[in-house]
Amino acid sequence: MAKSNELPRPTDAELEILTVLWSRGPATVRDVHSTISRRRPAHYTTVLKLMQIMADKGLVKRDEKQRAHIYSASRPREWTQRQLAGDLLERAFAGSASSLLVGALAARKASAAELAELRKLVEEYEGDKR
Amino acid sequence: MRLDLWLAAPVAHALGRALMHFLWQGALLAAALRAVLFLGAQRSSRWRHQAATAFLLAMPLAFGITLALSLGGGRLIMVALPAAPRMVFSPVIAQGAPAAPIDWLAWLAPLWMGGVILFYAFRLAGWVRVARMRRRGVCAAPPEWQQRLRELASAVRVSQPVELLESCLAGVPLTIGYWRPVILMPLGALAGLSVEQVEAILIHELAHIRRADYLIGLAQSLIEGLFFFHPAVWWIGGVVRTEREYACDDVAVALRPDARAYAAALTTLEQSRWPAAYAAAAANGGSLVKRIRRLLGEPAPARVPSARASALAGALVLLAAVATALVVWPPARSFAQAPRPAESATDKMEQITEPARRNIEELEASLAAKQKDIQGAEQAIEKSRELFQRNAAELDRAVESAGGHADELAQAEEHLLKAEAALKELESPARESQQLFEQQGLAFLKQLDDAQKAGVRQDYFHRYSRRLQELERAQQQTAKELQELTSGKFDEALRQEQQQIEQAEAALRQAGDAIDNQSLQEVEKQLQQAEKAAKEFQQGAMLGVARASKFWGQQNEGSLAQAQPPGTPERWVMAYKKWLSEDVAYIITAEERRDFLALKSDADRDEFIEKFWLRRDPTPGTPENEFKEEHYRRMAYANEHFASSVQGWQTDRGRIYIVYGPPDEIDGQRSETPPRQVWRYTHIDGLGYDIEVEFTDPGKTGDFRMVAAPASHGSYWQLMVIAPEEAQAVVQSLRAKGFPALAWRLGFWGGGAYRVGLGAAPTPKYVMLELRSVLVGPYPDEASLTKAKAAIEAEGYHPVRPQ
Repeated sequence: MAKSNELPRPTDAELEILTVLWSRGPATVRDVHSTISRRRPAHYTTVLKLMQIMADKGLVKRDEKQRAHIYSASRPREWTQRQLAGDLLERAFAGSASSLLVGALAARKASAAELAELRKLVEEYEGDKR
Repeated sequence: MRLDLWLAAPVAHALGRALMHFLWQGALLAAALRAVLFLGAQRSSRWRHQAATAFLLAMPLAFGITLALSLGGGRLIMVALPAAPRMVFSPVIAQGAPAAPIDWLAWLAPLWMGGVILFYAFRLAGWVRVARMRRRGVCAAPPEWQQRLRELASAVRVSQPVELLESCLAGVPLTIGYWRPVILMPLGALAGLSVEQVEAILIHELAHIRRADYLIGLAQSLIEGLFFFHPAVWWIGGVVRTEREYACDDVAVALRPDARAYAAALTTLEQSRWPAAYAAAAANGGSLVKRIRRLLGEPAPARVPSARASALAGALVLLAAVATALVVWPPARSFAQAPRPAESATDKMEQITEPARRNIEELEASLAAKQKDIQGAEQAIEKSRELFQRNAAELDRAVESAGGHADELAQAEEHLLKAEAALKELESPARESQQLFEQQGLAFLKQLDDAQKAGVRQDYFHRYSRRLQELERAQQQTAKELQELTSGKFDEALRQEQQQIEQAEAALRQAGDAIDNQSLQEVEKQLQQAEKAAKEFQQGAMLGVARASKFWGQQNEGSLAQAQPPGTPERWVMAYKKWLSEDVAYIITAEERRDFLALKSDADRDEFIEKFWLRRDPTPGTPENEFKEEHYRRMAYANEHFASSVQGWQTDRGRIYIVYGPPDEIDGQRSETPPRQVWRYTHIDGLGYDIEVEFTDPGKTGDFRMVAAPASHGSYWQLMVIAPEEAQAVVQSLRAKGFPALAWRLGFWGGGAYRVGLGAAPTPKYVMLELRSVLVGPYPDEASLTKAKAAIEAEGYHPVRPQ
């Protein structure tokens, strides 16, 4: 069996299935298929085949104790995220992309000092209210 | 275009001058915005955001007007820009005086354009990446959240449909797009926060959509790229982003008044964002600390940045002054007909720069005073930061060492389990052999390609055919041994096969020299013929076996009629005929059918029927025959539910229901055109797992028909359903002939599953090679197939029913 650092980087289609498993926890092929097909048309058998391949690669684990096999992601999402973020291209354009992103926190990451201050602010406020 | 020609062109000079003018224009606009914001300090963030956006949009406007005027002629510039009264620019002068020195203003244009192109290229790459985040690593959020989002959207008055997705790539909540907006929530955020907190975050994002912030952001990027050299533009851009977030915070707090919960949610999200998640080098959107202070109504601390702002303002004033001086004077020297005295120029420069210098000196003094305060504050911050980092590092080390061991243990366990499963699995050597066969074929093809490239002798194709046969024989050998299947024998077979492959490769290498086009064409012709033959074979196999039951049934009926004793009432014959061709039509074996038809008396027939059911009774000895009961229940069910123009048991759905029982799942889409049903069986003995049967009703008459070749299953499966025994016979004979891989693959012939299973589409040549390996040997039951095929074609019957 491949070691954790030798697991292949997931393709986009595999990443989608992993995302569902991370989001919903262990699930049957049926569950995964119904979640995916809410967003785009997908064949049940395509999903099934993909997940079998992923099980062979070691990206997901298969629990065969029940009649319907239960699949779960074999690595936590942080692991895959780190792997994807290591991509040179991803890093090169991250700055340029982030200035186009809109969202509650779409800015730079807060520093450790700022985080500490944030926590303090929220806690102080909480204390005042009590 | 040559650079010197370009530099001499009037447009280069005009661009350069417009850029220089923009130095003071930009500074002026920034100063004006500062004043507006100061006066409107008590106004809402929405108002302040609109003001900043307006000033940002005014920048390209000012630049455009200046450029147009510069191109239009000196008179207009004199009117529009009284600051440069003697700036008379005329194309006539430029063309009429080629000896005039090339002015440095013209050099600015190409430099500036280079910068803009570089900047835009980066932004475009970033934009492509953002657009990709809509699709990559996302899944639909749970339906209840989609519903909540729709309610919130109507509360925020967002009219376009908004998609809510969970993303494993987004580190923080994001909104992408305006016309088809998508809100991306990081994985775990929906579950990790309270309902009110998530709602507040969603309202913030919806507010972005409502306010078209994504579009404004794109426009802002374009403007920033155009004036990348000007700090004023970046400053105004920063104001726009900051006020934008404040405005959205206001909306969120207006609809969900618990500001503390919201602030806590933002802090939690900030804390849990994963380390490398699109950390931007440049800050934008303002400091989160400031936003939280604002949300909680805390007073801002003594404004440290104001010193920096003063310095910035000073630098801007200086920049503007220098720019003005440069723009005003060099053209006068270069283009004005009357040369100006040098003294006058210096005086003028001093007049203009003097107030600016005084201003700077004042600012510098205040700067020095404030810097002391800053240093004190910074030292304190540095100390606490060091403490925090030391603690965090220790914590990380502790967590890592604890987690590392657990991970290794889990890995070892997993490893052990997998190894055991692999050992137990009987099929795995067979699968490996199959893979080996594939590798062998692929390697062989690669050799073929190489040989073709290098050129192969005239007789190449004959040798190729011989090698092919040799390979097939080798495969047969392996398959036979696999039937007996012991691990020792398997290893030996593997080794032999590898040797044979090596021999084949060596033979091929020897064969490789020159081939002319003619023999290449021959190879292709042979391949085409093989393809044609393959198609015919497939159709023949499908047609023959699919129709075999019906064919036999007709014959049987005939012989039954003949077998009846003369003078027997018609009703009597009908009863047995009905039993044979309706009641048990799908479950009686060919052998039983033959026996039944050979019977001569009614007593024998009755006894046969009784024994027929008895053989199938799962609990012999009890009065009940569960099999028979279930069978007639299925018949009744099929007749009741599937009847259309024909009786229920005669329909496709009826047949599948009677033979395989109720499916584990039915996906029905009546609304689809044509109406469609997919039946799923988790397992069927002899067929495998996760089997799907698809029916459609093209005429909308209620007569659902089995789709001949569902996208994911091929002809073999279809044969199995229609005529399981005959299909099994075909496959078994294939297997016996030494083509286990092929027998297995027939199941996936037409569909995509086979390709997905391989991970990559096999080359057409490879498929051809496999087909050909079947066709070289005599087909086991060729005569009956040919006969069946002829009969079917005479009927005008097609393997795939016309839709």
